[in-house]
Amino acid sequence: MTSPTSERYRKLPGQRRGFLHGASLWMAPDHILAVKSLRFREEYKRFYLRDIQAIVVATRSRFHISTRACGIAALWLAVFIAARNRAPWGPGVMSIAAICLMVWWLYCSYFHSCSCRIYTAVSRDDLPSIYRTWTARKFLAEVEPLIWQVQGVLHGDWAEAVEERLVGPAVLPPGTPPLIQPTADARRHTLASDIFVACLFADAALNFLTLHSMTRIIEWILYALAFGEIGGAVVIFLQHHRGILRAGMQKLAIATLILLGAVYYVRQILAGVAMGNRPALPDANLLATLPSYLVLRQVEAGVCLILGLVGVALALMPESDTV
Amino acid sequence: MPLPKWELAAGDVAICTSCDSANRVRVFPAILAPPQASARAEVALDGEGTCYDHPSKRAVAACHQCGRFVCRLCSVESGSEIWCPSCVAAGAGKAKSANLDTARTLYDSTALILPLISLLLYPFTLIAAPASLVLSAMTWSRPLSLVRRNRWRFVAAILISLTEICLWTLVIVYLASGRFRGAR
Repeated sequence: MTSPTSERYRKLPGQRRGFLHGASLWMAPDHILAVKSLRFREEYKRFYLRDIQAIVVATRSRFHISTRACGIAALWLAVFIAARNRAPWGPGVMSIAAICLMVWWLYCSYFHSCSCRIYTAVSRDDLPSIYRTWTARKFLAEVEPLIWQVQGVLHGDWAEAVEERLVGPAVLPPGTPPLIQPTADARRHTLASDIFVACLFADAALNFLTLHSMTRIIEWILYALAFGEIGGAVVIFLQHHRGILRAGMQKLAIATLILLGAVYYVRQILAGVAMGNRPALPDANLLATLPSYLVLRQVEAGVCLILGLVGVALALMPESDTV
Repeated sequence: MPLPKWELAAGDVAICTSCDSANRVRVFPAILAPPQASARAEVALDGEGTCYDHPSKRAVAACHQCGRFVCRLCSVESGSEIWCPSCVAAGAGKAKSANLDTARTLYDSTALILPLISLLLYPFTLIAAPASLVLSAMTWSRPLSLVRRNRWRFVAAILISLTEICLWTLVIVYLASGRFRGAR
């Protein structure tokens, strides 16, 4: 089934793909639609062709790591692992390929990146989906003729005429109240986020203190802390979605969930290796003697500690720094 | 911040004198348009049509939805149509015009992410897979993104969820039958 409103939009060049945020531009008969996607939600802004005053593309370095770049890195890793033991020249070739890819990315990020801004009489907005110069060229080539069609072409000594005009929204004199009052500020921390950060610290402390003496009880306490972190993360997502909590804490919750997932699977693999083909549950004391398991717990404790410190910093930092 | 004027006078690419960045500036005639007349509604003279909500103001259009006369202040442009404030407010609930949408929730992406993200801790798939199925069924007919064209995410979510549910069913049946055999 097709949405009746989707047919009239045509994709314009450029797309920003991030893990949480994305952006793209779409062309309608009479306006450009800027789409900001937040994974589960999309926000739209329309720039009517008749209203666009100027488009400025400024070169500047931008080191954006897109999901496509991460996909290429993952593919490289998979091929590297597969080729490692099959051919003696495999690792060398793969390393050269990695260096070439890295140099190419740095070159593009430094020399061929830009930011694009669009001006109307009441707004000036960055277009995050356009961050490479070749994309900006394609975008301008597509959009310019359409704007000219609607607005006509500037004739005569337009530069002179523009000299005396203000481009973009008028700058309000200092002290003027804004037209739209901002909504109540989101908080830096809530009870849920405090419990979440406390769980992180407790997790780190317990892991460090019981590195060489793992028992069933300690294992269950660690599971309880993990559930506390997951529950806290869910509440943080909800509070951020409702505008109660700032974005920094949400990112921390995401990082924690990824850590928990990774540690969970690595622990299962290590336990599986340790137990061989025996169908029983792995013994906690047996696991604690494995050097690799010890390293895993140290890493987990260290990362939990860092995440906890980041959480404290997010909760204590001034408002403007935590957005 | 206004555009630096020197950018406009330069040719195709203007170099910033302060940061040396190369700027490609495209200027359009809207920049020279006179500032828009105030949206203040004009007072209606005798015999002139008046606004439904402001009887003393001159009507400039009729609402495309309900036909009520609206003054300049009350007219809301929606694509090529003019709406009155009441129809805009009423449309916010159900038949909202796509031209007024400023955000949409992506239920299809949510339904797809649920069974996938729960794989991070696979026991959670026991809850996430049915939740995704229910979400897909409940929100299937809701409006999608303004710019996406189909519902493949819903289909993928349903397939993945069904696979996870089938696997769980097999595991439970296997464990239950093993216990049952063991008890006999």
